[in-house]
Amino acid sequence: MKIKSIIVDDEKHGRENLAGLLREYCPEVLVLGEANSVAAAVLLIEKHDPDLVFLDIEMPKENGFRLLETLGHARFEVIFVTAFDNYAIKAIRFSAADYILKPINYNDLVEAVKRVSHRVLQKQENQRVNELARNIQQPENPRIGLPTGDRIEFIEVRKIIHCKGEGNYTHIYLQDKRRLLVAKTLVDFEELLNDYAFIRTHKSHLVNLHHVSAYLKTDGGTLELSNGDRVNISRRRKDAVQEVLKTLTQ
Amino acid sequence: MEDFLSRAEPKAQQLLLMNDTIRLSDIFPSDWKNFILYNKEGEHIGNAKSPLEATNLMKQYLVQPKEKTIDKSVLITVIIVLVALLVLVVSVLLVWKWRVQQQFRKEQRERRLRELELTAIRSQMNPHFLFNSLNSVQNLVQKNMGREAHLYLADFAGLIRKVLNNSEKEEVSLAEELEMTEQYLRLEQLRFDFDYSMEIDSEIDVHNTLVPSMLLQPFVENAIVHGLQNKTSDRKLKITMKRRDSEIKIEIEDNGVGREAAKELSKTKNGKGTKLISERLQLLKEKQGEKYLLETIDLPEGTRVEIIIPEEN
Repeated sequence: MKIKSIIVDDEKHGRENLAGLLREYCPEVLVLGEANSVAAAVLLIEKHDPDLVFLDIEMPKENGFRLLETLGHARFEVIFVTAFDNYAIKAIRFSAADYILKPINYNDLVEAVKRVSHRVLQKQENQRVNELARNIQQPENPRIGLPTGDRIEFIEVRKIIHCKGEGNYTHIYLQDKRRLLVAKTLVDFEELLNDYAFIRTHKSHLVNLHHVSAYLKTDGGTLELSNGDRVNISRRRKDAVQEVLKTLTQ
Repeated sequence: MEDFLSRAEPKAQQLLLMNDTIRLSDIFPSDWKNFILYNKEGEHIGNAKSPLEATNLMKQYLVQPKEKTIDKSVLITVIIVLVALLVLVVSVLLVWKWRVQQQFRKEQRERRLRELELTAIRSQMNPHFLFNSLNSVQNLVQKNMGREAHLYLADFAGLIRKVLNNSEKEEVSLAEELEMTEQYLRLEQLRFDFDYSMEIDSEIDVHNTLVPSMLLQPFVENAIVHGLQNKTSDRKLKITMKRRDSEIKIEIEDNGVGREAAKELSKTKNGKGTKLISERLQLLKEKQGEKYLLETIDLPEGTRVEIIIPEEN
């Protein structure tokens, strides 16, 4: 079965390049059309009802995220294609959506298409992109996408109590007492969550400040959290943690 | 003292004695006991309990009478010298402070200039532009257009090389600036279609005229990104340079959507580059004491930026 797709990019070379790479490296993807703006993309999507949209983010007039907002609910999968935009890439990673960077490494393209086509063939609903759109529309209560095994859980950031890193994996401790194991490093989570009052207290601990219930002076500093867990503060981070806690109590 | 004054009666007998040839004992009987002595100026000299003692005191005073007056003039001189010294010290301090301040202001200006230059470099190194350009080159490779890919890659490398080199310089020759602008334009052209032209007055010695480095890029980029990219066809950019009197007038003109429309469309960072370069020109003006001028004019169709830079003489 072929995957029906369209390409959205304001630059002609961008569209041509991707189409060429897809022909060569992803023959299972069928490109039904190309759009150079969000408005044109909306029409193409209505016409072709694609399984997959390759979406450039930075475009004059309206950016790629606007397409998701315009459509409200996306039935199709999206692979974002972007040259550079820190903010956008962060938002995409936050929802665990797929993206590739320009200039395109064809290995990345093949990988992304493989992940997406798996979901297309299983007729799984496209949760990631809809969650991304939701986060963009409601930035005050974002949900983060946590891939666990073959599925993905979307968890409200405020319900994460703390994260504990263990090699390439991270344990996520939730308010409802559950614990998730995610195949991402603690550094990844630190990057994604540092806008939401999370602080690294130790090389293997990331803590949600809203869930700190006490500061204990034992063992050179320990934080007690709302679920009763105790988390160490390393010597080198002690000053920074105290500083943040001070501003919090004020 | 009070005591003596009260006893010195009658007042008529308080004598003014300035001459030691007069003997007090000749005038006053020896049993007179209280004498108060004054000099001509009415200054109190001393008190005595007998005419003899009074005479001696008088003599003593007259032997060294000048010392006191000298003392006074010395005092005045000392005061004058001290005041003069004080004034000198204060003025030296003020001058010193002024110079320090001047120095500080100069350093501040230099620092700000460096910052602005760095910002100019960063905007030239705009990652969105860089990666999209590379992506376009990748497309040429993908389409087996080796020759074009080769040329654009060379332009790309040339541009980056110049940015890296020029980042250490405050000024570059107009020729270098123009070459850099042209490489930038060719790469932008690869990304989307527009025409550009450059007209340089033959009277201008481009190799020996120095301009602030990366002067043109922000305006050219604005013209393309805000003016032309928001338009669908017939996109033109024109750069002209004319010499008049001892100035060079640079015009960057596009036939794009104009500033107002661009602002509405993009809602973002519009005009930041212009503000930065205008601040930079202002600082250069202060530093070199020469005239720089920057003006943006809205045309019926598009926008024109005029920059006037002084010719060195």
